[in-house]
Amino acid sequence: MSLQIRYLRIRVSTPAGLFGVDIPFREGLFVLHADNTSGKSTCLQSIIYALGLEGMISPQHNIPLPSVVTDLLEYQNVRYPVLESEVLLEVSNGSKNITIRRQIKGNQNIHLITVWEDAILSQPNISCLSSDYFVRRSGSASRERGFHHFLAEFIGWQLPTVPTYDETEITLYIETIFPFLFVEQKHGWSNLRNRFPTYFRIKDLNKRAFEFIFNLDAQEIATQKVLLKQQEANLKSHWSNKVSECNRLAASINATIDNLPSQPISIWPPTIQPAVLVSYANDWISIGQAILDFEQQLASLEAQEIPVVNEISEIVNEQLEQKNIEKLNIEMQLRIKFEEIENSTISVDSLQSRIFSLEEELSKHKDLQTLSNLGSVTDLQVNSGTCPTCHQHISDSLIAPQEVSNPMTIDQNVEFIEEQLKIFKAMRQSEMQTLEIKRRQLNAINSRVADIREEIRSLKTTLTSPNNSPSYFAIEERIRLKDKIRHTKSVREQIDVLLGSFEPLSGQWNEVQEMIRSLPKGILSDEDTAKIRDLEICFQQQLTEYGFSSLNINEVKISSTSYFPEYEGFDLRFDLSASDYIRIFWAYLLGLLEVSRSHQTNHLGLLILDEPRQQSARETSIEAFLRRASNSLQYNQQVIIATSESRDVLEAHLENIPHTLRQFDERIIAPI
Amino acid sequence: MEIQELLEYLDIPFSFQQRPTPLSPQYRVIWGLSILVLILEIGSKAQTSPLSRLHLLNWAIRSNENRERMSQLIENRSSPVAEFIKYDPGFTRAIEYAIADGLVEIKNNATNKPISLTAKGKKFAKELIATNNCLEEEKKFLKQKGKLITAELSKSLFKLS
Repeated sequence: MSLQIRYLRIRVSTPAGLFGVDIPFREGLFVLHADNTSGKSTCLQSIIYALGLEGMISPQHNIPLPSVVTDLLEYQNVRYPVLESEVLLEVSNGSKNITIRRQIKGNQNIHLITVWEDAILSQPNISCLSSDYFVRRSGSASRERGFHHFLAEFIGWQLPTVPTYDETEITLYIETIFPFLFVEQKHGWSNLRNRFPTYFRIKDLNKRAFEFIFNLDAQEIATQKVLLKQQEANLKSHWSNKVSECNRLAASINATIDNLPSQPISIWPPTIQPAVLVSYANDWISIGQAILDFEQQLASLEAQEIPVVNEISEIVNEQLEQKNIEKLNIEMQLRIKFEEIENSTISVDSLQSRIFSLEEELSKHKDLQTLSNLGSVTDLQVNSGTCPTCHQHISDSLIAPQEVSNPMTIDQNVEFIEEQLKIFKAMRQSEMQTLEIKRRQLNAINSRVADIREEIRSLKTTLTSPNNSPSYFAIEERIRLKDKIRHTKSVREQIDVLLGSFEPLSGQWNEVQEMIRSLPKGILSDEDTAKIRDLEICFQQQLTEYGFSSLNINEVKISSTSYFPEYEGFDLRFDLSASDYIRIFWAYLLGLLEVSRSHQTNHLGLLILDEPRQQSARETSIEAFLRRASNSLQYNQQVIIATSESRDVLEAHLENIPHTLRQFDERIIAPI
Repeated sequence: MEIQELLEYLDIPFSFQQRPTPLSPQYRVIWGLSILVLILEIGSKAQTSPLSRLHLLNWAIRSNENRERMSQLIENRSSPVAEFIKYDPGFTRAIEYAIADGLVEIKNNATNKPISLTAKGKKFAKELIATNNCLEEEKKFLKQKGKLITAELSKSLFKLS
């Protein structure tokens, strides 16, 4: 991951001939020296313009370059109109060179960028093919012919997508990352944090940009967390769908399922296995037992021959009488059950209304808590418990001001109501469960009543049928029993299949839980924390070297939440002298570059600073800064600095450190 | 068990300890003051209202049920609600405290001696309005219905009860 500026060429054609400049760059510290207003910033901004990155400074589409290349060129007090102008830039990614050309003024579309796949400026003899790309149009970061798509690939950046304020996701544009690599002269030095282009509406942009340039796992971890939460919720809803399907099946045979966990669990089957219980008389028996009982009844019936009517008419009469009594009994039970259900319903309703009014009261108390913290309230005399007229003690109660009743404080009262709510909610929960069980029992009784009616009818049919025909009742009893066995078995099978399907869900749940556990508690991985710690060390070290004096250096930390320098948890902007704020800039941006030498980051090894000696930071500190920046040579990095420092001083500063100095005594853009 | 026997069992030393009693939120001093300034600021013309109307509004915003009844009354959907309305003596005390604390004042120059919001009370009300998630239902009701509940209405309801 690297980008190095190798050669800059600016060409301006005027009626008086061709003007321009050629600057070959070198790696390590490169100092561009010229007087104020001679065109240093024009050169540095041309680099940004050539890379199509002017969007990092402003969302506008007019050309962010001074009039010397766009309108009127002034040279030795004569003004020449600019006819055409262009910038050419040769850059390297460490293994490959390309040359970029973008017109500033002229007939060509300014959204067009021409790229040669070789170094045609520094090695003019090479000839190679060129291709055209577009820039600062929608798609320039995503489409194949988009220049930023090409540039990202060239420098080896895989840009992540990030959430915006519009609830959509967009690519983290290159423009949003370059503020870490380039500081322009006019507005760049005013605030370290607010230099990131906000018009893309990316949420927490400077954090996202930092996470990218420092290649933190944080972004990845945050996304993963969201994803896992999503999966967790999906599994939960799947699970509860299956639970309700089981319950529906069970209800069809008046059964209930015991021990079926309503929330996902990670081991399936659970230690206490879910059991299907069938309502039998007033008790619950397991479904297997019920089937066995039915089958035994059937077997004992089938062991007998089907009797002929006249042989059994007496017995049938007796049975009929019995069944009628049974019917009366069970209808009585039915009525009792109805009453029970009615009572349960009433009690659920009254619990419900009690809960409702408690909740209303609770929310009023919450309002009271808010009220008692308001500024206007704390100013009131009555609030301090003193009567404003007679200055005697008064209680907090409007109905018993003499404090006979000793009312609870608001907080106590909130707690009191919350406790009650808890109890009432638990009561409602258990009452509703009882109600549900009673309903199931009612259904069971109902179907028993229907059975008995059937039996009575078939007994009657038997009595009225011809004497020598087989007993209708005996036949129907067998059929009915068979049918019941078949139905119960089929439900049991279906429930078994369903219960089995909890196993994969449980496995997935386990997996998701494991993954959630394996993620770090915060969003920073160990490596992330190490990077930020190293940045902080490097940052504080530099502050010491640069003579930072506004605050205790050890207290100026790199925040692990905002990733920017903070003092006691606050942004630094206002506590500092202007020159110390510039030192913060140097130490932070150079710190990023230096930490990239020992850690894997997405930093390009490039830092471009326009007039870093903004607020005339003491000379000693710029010297320390230049020395520190010159180390970049050993690591194949590049620090480009434009300055108008006095010549003697600058030469003294640079005396013993490796650097490249390019000086201009006059206007930089000159006749060629 | 005979009564006598039972009492013998109970013949051991015991003591009572007074615990603080719970208090309905409407009977808190701050509640009364807050409601009063809100009624005057949001629900009254010229931040001034006769005493009886203040009581009526205080009753009206007290609960969901009351709000609904009041709405029905002003929309002529039901007969007067006089039988339901309860005047809260606690609220009278709240008004007295508010006068003493300089939140409201009695306009002595007018005939019916209405209660009016002072600058201090207005400041308090503004702060309440600016505070989110606080007395939202009450604010909403006062905003929508407050000014529809007229002094004439409260007067006629007074006579009825």
